Amino acid sequence: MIDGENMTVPLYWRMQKEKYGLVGSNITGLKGRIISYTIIRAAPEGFEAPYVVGVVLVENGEKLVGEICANLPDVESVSLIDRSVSVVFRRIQTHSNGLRVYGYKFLLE
Amino acid sequence: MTGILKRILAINLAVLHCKPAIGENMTTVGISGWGAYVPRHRIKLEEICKVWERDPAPVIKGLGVEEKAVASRDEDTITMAVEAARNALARAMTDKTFNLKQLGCLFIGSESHPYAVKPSGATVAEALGISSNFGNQMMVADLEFACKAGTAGLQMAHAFVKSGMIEAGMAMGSDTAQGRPGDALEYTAASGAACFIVSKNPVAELEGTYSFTTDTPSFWRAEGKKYPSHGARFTGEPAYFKHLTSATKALMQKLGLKESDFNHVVFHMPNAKFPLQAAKMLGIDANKLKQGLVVTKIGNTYSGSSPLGLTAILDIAKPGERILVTSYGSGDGSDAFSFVANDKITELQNIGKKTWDYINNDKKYIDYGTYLKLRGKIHRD
Repeated sequence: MIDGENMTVPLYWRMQKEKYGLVGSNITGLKGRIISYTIIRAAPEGFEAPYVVGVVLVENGEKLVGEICANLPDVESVSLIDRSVSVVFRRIQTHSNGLRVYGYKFLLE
Repeated sequence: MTGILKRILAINLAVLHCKPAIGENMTTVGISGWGAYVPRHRIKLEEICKVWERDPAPVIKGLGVEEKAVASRDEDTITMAVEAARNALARAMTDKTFNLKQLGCLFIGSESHPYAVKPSGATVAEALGISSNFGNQMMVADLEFACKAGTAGLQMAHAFVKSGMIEAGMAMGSDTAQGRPGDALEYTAASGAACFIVSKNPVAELEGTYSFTTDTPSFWRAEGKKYPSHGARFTGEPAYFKHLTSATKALMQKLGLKESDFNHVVFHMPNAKFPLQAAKMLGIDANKLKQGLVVTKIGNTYSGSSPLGLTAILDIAKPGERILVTSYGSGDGSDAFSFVANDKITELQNIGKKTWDYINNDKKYIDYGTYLKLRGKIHRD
């Protein structure tokens, strides 16, 4: 997981292949379903709570951890388990020095 | 002059006057993949009018726009361009002779590049797996020319491929347009992206293109300013209409075509009124604009505007149909294009999400407060 501003510029650069393109996966049209999730209410520095983080079983059999794009309170009263998601490219955070960190997230279908 | 000399001269003259049927030379280049992206969030103009205490009926009628698309807080020009490009690549991949290594350029037009210094295109190329880290010779440039930066990239990618410098290229327009709260632009400034793959094995062949540019101060955003300024009514006659109609007429003259030769037409869409009025001025049937008139449901997506109109038409164009596209960017300029769809387009139309699917499905309406938050106009104190 990306740890707030502790993700330094060199670390962000080194992780681009994994975070941008899920290297090792066929990203185009990748879909999956949520097998576990939690709502983060106390966020680390650089993130704004609340937001949802979950484990997704993607169609090629891999399990991935990432943020689930969802609007609270829409998802607070319903279970997201087994909900279908697609992998999308989003901004994960913006550092105080202006650097934007990008990567994959999961969008509810 | 002897008979043999006359014959040689006649043959040479015939060669000199023998113009190729298409474009500037015989190499056929055009669009071999296209993709759209429109964010899910929508705000109705009625909601914006409510906040600024305006009667919504004349505003909606005057602009011809009902609602506009709004990017999420974690979306920007880069992320939307990646989504549109993935859709375009999925279509281009149906050509078994195409592979990602052939892509040698990526041009991204926007007036909302996230960085003042750091190219959007490099991140897009990296995310798509076509940067030089993946072995590609990759030329990237971020383009700016108000709302026509996307089509400028399309011309450049076309020229790169046609010259033989590269085998295939990418051009995209993507914007999260900003409108100052309370300003006239706020009713239409929207978010969206479109991407095109350009190659020598096209499904929509580019017949020709023509650009018309002058220094016209109709709309601008100075360095360091968050919101653009504009010349209000000055943005109409001497700006939009002059440039768009001039480029369109010049293209038709260049190609020897007339209005009735086109089956579909896209003009830049700052609102729904302007393109329809331009069509009337040019003697073009308004019905030809219908499929590409995406502005009514998503607003003005700036650099993505006429490109999204084109993706909407490519989604349904029949083989043999001719498409006219003219962009417009303040400052001012217009790029006009004529494309002809061929037999191969039908196969690509069944792949992926269509432009109007993005526009009509999975919408989530938001109120004005949420809109301000998503677009970064208010922050937690």
